[in-house]
Amino acid sequence: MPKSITQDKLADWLNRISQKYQLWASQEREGISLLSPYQPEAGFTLERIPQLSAKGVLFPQSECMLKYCYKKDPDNPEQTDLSLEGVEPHLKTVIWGIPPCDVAGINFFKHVFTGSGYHDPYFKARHSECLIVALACQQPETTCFCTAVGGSPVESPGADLLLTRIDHEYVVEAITPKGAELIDEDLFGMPEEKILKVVEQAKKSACKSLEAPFKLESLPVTADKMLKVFESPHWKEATRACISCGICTFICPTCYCFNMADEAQGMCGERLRCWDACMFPGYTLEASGHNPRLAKFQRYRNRLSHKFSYLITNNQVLGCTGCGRCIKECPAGIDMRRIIAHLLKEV
Amino acid sequence: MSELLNELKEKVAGVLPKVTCFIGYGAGFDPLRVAPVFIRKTEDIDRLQWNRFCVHNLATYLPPHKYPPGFLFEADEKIGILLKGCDSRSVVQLLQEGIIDRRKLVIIGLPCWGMIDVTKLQGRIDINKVNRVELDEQTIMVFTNQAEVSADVSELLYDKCKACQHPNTLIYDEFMGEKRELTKDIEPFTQVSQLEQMGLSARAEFWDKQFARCIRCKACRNVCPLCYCQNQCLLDTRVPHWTKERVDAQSNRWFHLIRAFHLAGRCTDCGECARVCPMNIPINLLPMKMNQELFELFNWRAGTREGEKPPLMSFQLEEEKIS
Repeated sequence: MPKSITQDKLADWLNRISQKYQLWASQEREGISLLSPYQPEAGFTLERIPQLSAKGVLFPQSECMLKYCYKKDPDNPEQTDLSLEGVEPHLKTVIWGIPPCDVAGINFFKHVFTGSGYHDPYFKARHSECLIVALACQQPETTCFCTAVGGSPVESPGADLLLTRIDHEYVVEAITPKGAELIDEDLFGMPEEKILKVVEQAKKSACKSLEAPFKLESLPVTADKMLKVFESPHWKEATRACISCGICTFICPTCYCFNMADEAQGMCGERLRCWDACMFPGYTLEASGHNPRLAKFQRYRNRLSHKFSYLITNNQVLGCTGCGRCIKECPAGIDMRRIIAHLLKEV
Repeated sequence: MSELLNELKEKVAGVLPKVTCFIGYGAGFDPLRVAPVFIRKTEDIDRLQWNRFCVHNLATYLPPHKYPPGFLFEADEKIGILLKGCDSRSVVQLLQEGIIDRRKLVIIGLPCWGMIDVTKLQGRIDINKVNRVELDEQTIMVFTNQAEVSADVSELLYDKCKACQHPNTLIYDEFMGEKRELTKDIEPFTQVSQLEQMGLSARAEFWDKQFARCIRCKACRNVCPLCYCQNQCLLDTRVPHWTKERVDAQSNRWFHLIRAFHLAGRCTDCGECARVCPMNIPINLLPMKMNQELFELFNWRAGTREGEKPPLMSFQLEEEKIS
């Protein structure tokens, strides 16, 4: 049975969660909503979709994978010993109040980082200790298109709890038993029957308000079609304004490319895994100096083809959750919905 | 506005036979935004827009060092471009640096009354849910499915527009409309002066907070018409390793400070770096500080005096204000 909590008790709830878990919630910071480690004095906001997706909680922008130290033997300078130290960043974590498209992003990461092939121990450890509290989106933004890529603004498979706001009350549905454990009885009540009806109604109208900018057929057909338009001149035409920055990739809930680097200070250092972006010209720069994706249309084509074709072929999953951040934040106003719609009409 | 748009379309129709591509503004993803468009065919001229949202500095597409021949334009292409006053300063600076060729450029100029910073509407209405806008000279009405708000256009202008000293395109081949006269003197570095009143430790704290948010997407650098070092940028070289890979406030600070120094006397105050920042960092204030220094030392504002040599590109045996 769903429970409910009133707006004025949310802070109490968060305070309690933060005593047992590392809690991430959206905070209003300099005009944007940012998912941040929860601090009671900084408050929280549920008003807008967070500026960055939730992927950074489970896949931090800069992650230390190990620490190392070289040590020279003073008696035998030719002898150098290496000591390695692993890092265990694992804390019980709750990500609270994120939209279903961001939960879909985490589900996507599961495919790539713990799917059939390689299992990433860093992601896996973080993810297995993480609970997700989703918030249904009732008034989607003009850039939202989750329903066009198989998502829903109001249902959130993969989350542990789902909140739906009705005026000053939040109806809470436990999706998993672990999620149910987050519900402290004394803060929650039973929602009235009529509220549950309002929730149903609100969910229906939220779905209706989303216009599908394109219609995808089955995933394999989409993958095939996107391969067929590889040589389309539209790629070049549509990306002339691109400035090759990393905004679209960094704020994307599914972009997972990374680079590794050793950062040393003297004899000791750390091995870092940092977000990288396929939109940067240096991403495919080879040691010879050759760059197979030197032109920005080639890089953009790779990014969208990866999401709408290669991932389907390799991991049986679509690489886009329809959050619309890449459209909203693009400095050059590039709208990937229009590009996909145009390309799918070509075949 | 719509008269100016009609005139623009006529002018572009006249210019298009002389150029291979015309860079202007077209529709964006919602009624509050526009996007750069690249017009190559007469039938595309109708895609052009001119309104109070045309903030992008189109000059960023001109330096061939940013976009090598063949990747945006071919080496021999002659380009047409629409430039606002502020954007034309970037072109003047690029010409003075010998980066672009004036003979390969056809510039359409116009008077600008300032652009609307849509983020200033946030708080009054959710700007990401806007589906309709009504706009006249003084007032803007913005509508979502749930709400509507009206506001004075003058309140919503970008800070750079409020401090605008060059509302008319400075260099052009054709000019449309009547030149706008400035009615009052404006202090161009107000934002920097305000920050400097804060005192050292408060200012350090201010910037630490800003740099802690930076995700190093490089949009500020890439959108800048004067940042054309391509892969030689300190942010991209691994040897030497100028900046750490770890994205944190400390290493972000070095990147932004070094970038600001590299823009000293070159930055034309277009503010694009701050506009594109997805983390709302007012990063234009750092180059603006350098501009203030250059103004005080050499009475120089980059891109405003065609035909002169920028002070940091020349020297005098005796400098009046440097001992």
